[in-house]
Amino acid sequence: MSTIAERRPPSRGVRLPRRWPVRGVVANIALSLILLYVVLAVLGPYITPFAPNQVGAGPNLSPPSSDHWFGTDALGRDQLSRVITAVRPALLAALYAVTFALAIGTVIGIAAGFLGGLWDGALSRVVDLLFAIPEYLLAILVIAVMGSGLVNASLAIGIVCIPRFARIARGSTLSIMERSFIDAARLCGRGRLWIMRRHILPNIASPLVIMTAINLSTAEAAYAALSFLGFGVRPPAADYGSMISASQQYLLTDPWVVAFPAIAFVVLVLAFNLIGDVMRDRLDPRSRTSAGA
Amino acid sequence: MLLYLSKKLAGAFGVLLVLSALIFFAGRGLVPGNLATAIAGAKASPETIAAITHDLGLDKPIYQQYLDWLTAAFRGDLGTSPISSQANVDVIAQQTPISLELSLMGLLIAVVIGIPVGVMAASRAGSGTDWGIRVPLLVVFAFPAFVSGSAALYLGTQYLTNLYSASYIPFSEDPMANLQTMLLPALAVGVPTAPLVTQMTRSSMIEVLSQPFIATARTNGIAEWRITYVYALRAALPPVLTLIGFIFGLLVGGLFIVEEIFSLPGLGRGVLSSISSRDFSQVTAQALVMAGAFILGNLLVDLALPFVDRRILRK
Repeated sequence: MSTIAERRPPSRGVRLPRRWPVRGVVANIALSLILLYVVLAVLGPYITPFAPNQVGAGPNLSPPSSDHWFGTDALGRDQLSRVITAVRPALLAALYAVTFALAIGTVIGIAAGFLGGLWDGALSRVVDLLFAIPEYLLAILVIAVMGSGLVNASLAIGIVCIPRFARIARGSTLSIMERSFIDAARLCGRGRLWIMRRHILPNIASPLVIMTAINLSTAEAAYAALSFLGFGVRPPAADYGSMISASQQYLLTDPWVVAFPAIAFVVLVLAFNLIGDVMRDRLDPRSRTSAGA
Repeated sequence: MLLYLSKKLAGAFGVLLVLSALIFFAGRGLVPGNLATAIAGAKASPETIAAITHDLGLDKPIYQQYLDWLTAAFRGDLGTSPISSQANVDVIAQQTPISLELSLMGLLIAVVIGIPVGVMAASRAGSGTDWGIRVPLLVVFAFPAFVSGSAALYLGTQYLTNLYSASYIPFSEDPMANLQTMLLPALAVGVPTAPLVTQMTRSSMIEVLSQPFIATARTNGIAEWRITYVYALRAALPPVLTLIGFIFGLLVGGLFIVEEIFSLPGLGRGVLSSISSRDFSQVTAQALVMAGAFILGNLLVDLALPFVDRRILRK
């Protein structure tokens, strides 16, 4: 009768979904694409044929050729090198923004759901308020106050994404709160922080991971849009949004200067979107029809 | 019904009030350092700076400045820009119709494409047709406004020259010429938004189609198209309507970019130029109108919901 001695210690840390949440052909294609971009982001500086900011690497506005696969831009910079270099700020921005939103949103959501009462009321109001501002307007206002740049633009996007994480964290927390192991932990005299960290957080990890995947593509697109408007990394550095806006005037005469960065960027967002869509199907079983594809 | 309406109205008003404060202080944060010095220039004499400070009411405490601004805003006076010395209301009155037309047209395009396609995908859920619809839409959805806008501009000036003219003409002067300018920008905003509508319509319809009253309708021998488009679609609409309110906000974001690409003198471009000229007074007014329009859009959706679905009032 020594069952007490066999009591399993509560699992440490955050538990990820038991099954690898993305499977199927579409998801595999998307994952390999993202992996390719990550490799490009890491190896970028070592594999570009030219220095990305080297003016006059070739003739100005030369069409794609064997020397310059993606052609050159108005200053004679090699487009292929610039497209590869731009992967890094693009991925970093999405990563910063989503990490920031995930961290803050989760804390707000768990606190609102777990503490309830006045806390819940106040925190939920703040979240509703953030939801009530048009997203880009909020991001641009934040940047107007803080200044532009990769980190500031990412933070602005992160602020925009906070309410989504907060809502889903709160909702999931509320449903976990009804489970008996929360009451059990309380009866054992565990503190509120301990319960939130060891019981709530691991149990709401799954929807949060899915939300992260969905938001990566939003953040990616938002950063490029902000960079297009001139709020991203400072000009000589390569960045999809600013490359496209700088080449806008050559769109009619030399369409490839816009086309290559645009294609590279759209494929990246598409890969994130596909992952997000597969994940969304798992979050929202209503829309699940064919298993995982 | 009245209770529901007044609750929603009060909520929207409260949000707008808090937002006005946020926007006011964000506008003040736009200019680093002393506003008066920034306006007068670095070489201005202390007397000029003191005069400007007094004119703008900057010598009062900041909450007093906010309250003054707020009461003026209630009277419809959004201030005068100290940079361009134009009344902000006049500037906004010129910019708003363009942005409003653009976002309404974009919304219309998104809904006209999104809902029927979503219904089609839902009634054949899981089949090849379903995937044949979803995958292309996901691809379209990956096109951000600045890519779709560039593409539309390229098409418009290169191939569809009859369809597009670059100079903006107000709708009241010449509706056809106005549409000629606005159609492509509206497509650039609307088409990439359509997949969102499709996705929501599809998942909401799938849920409704599995409910007993649909089976009952089928056993009563009602035609399948009638069941899908009349019975099921109506029950599936509320979440789609809510999403449309949300999309209105996304469209506002699209405005910044599409107006920039097509050089349309609307609100989005106005905000950007106010920010770059550090015109805090004008940007505050423009942001307030934008946020107000978004809140109004969501309020209208909330008010329309009970007419689509009576069950909402019973909650």
